[in-house]
Amino acid sequence: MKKVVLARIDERLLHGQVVVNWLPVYDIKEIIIIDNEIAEDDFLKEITLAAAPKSARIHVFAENQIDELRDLQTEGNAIIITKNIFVIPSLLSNGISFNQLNLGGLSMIKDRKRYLDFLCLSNSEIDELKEIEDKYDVEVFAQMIPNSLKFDLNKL
Amino acid sequence: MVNILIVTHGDFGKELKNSAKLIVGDVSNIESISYDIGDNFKSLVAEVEKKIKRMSNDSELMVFTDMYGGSPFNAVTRFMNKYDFDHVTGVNFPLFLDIALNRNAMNLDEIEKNIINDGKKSIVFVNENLGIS
Repeated sequence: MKKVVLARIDERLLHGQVVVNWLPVYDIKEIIIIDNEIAEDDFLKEITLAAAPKSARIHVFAENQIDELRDLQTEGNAIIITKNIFVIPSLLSNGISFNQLNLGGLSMIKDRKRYLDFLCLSNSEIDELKEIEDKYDVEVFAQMIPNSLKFDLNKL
Repeated sequence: MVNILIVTHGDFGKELKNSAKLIVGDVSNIESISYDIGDNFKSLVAEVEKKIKRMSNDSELMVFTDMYGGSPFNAVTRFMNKYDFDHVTGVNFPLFLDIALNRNAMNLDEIEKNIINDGKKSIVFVNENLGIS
């Protein structure tokens, strides 16, 4: 698993906005989706894989399949997309490295607070993000699509 | 009569129905779901399932979404093996009108055969069509 140019947190995983806006800017050829619900449901997995754009391959992994992900043979730039912030440290500490973590969309549930119209975070998620930034030298920023307003973690 | 459900980003679907009313008149059994920025995806999925379940129960159902791979599309597609309905994405005004007009006289089978492919031809580059450079 090489050349991960961006990791993105988005509860909607792969959708139009991501395909149309983020893939071209980062010249993405491999889309890695890490999501237990999709990985464990054959039909969801099937329709997710079918949504691959012509320009890239899609792969689906469960959260506990980090070893398989690390061993994945890839060509070109890859993006990792997940809705679970707590998966990110496991990736970084297991040989999957990247320098940018984009917060693209999390909605209001449980004990989250709203920071931007597309982004809600709980205190434990914020703590996790701060630790990711400090410990792994990853730039954490909130931005819906490239060229829209960008917010560094400390500006939220 | 074939029921119609439109699921789109923002109010596109809601306004498609409102605009259709000007031309078709009868927009009964047509419902829409608007998905906005910041809305919870799981809630969208739940609302989509609720409407699909009800609207496909005693009638044929056509579901329109706005864009292949978008969140409305994803929410609807997940239920295609659980409930019986047709799903067309990339919906536009002419296609929507055509189906809204014919859903009394035709069933889904006939709509599939006669109308959906014609809908693809509804996007016309007028300059070329009229020979204007």
